[in-house]
Amino acid sequence: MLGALTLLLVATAVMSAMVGAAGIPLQRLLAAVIGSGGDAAVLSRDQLVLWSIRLPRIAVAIGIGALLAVAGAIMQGMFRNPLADPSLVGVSSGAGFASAATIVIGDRLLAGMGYQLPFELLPVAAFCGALVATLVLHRIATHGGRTSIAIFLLGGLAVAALANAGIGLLVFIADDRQLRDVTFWLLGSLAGATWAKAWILVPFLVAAVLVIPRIQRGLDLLALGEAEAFHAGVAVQRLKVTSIILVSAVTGAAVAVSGVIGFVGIVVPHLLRLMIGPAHRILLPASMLLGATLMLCADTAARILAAPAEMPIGIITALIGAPFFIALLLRQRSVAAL
Amino acid sequence: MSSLLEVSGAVVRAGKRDLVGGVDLTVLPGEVVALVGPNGAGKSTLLRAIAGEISLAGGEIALKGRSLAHYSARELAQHRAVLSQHTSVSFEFSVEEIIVMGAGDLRPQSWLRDASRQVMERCDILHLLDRPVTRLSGGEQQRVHFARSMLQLLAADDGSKPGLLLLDEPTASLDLNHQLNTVEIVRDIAQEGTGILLVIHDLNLTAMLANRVAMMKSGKIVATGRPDEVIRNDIMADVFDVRDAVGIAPSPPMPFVLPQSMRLT
Repeated sequence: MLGALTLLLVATAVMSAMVGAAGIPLQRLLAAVIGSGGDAAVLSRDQLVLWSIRLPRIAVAIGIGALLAVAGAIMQGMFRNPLADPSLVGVSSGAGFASAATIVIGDRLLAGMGYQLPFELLPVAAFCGALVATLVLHRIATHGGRTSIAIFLLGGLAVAALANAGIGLLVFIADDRQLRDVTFWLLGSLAGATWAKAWILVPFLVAAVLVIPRIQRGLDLLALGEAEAFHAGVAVQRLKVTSIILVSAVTGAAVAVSGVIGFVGIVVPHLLRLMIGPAHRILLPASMLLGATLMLCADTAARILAAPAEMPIGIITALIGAPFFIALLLRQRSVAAL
Repeated sequence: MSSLLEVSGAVVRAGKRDLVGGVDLTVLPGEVVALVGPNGAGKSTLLRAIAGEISLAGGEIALKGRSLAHYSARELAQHRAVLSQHTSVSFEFSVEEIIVMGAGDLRPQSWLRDASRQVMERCDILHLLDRPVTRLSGGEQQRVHFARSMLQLLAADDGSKPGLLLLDEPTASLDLNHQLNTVEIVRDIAQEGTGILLVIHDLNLTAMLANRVAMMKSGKIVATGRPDEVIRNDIMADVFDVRDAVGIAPSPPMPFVLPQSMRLT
């Protein structure tokens, strides 16, 4: 299964590299990658497009998709709730608010001292924002080892509203240049992708891959309830702390690089549960692969649907994700009373 | 014989109220002890404290001579298993996946496959093995989780260390046939050395099943002994407010409970 998903991801990446404002057919793509063959002028132009525009963007899309999908899957496992998603319950908004605040406020402080704001600071700020939002949510929704699905979603709504109000306030006080940066976090876009941004995602991807084997059994058992997981030998508190930190870090990194992009974290794990079942040992790595593939498809569509203009990717993921979420809600209604 | 479980002076407090107020209780290896008593007597709370889920406000619980507080969650799971009163599963795991989860990573795949099939057979759920556990009836789900707790102890057992099995109303949503099947399984497991402490409301099953009965009322154990020593008219009247409830079934003589009416006060 993981092999098939990897293959699908590679095929999507190749397709995505070929299409765009300047099309690169397959044989020219090969030439551009290995750096020889064909007309020299065409080759150098293709190489420029490929290496400095298209490949970094593909790399960022893969990274963001993998991180958001795995964040959703872990969050669903931890809150025992198939409707959990960082963008839906305000965790992404928390990260977005922290990023925007860093830009607007940090910019003013540092500008007074003559410094430029380092981009690397943003994932850290976004992580803190995501962490605070997740902890608040956990405090609201989990009581006596049980999480109420309704309270969880409503609490998430409140957290998101608060974070968005904060972003609104920042928009109000920001100057024109900052304003452009801030609205970017509201809409979400991969248009500014660079190799530097792709590299920022790498440690978070590695962290996710390393942590997954340590939490997968615990998350499986958590599906039976916190007490039952404890009975079967899971150190529940440690599992929850690990999961919360990982989800916050991973969501924060994704938001810092691409802004708030919704619904990936809810669509991908749900599709996979239908195909391969809910066991986290496979679900989590598969979520990373399918999340990367879907994000790449959505971003490619964003690039070509209205070419030469570009659609915000958040619109595409929401167009797919929102009806999906409604269908999921209806299903949930028949399974268990909210 | 040294005791498997030793509870001394256990107090569980919620706010200012003592849910369990100074309980002493032991379970020996191979012994079946039933906790009975009216709703709200503190039976489930006591069981949860013994499971290590809630901490004591006073007294001590020792498992195999070692205080519960000194066990990690993982170590504890290798010495005691628990069947909760009600378990709801949040994703559509299959029956087999749920049962294998009980064993953790202690055993290889081949062992898990064989052993899980054995316990499923024993609990009469082998035919459900591929079904999503969320789609089963309440009684079927209860049998699945019972099988899971059995497998947990089997996986941890290296032959020298009998475990403790805690059951919170294992027969509550079962039909008559499966109630008797559960009684048989519990007795069999005890024969092999496992100590069993169960909370149960059905006093007739208790009489068939338990070596010892501990009767609880208002957070305290008010009577303890063999079923025929505890299931008596005077104690039943005191604890449950029912009169003339107990009769004796012949061969082998065993108390049974068929209340005629509530006590008129």
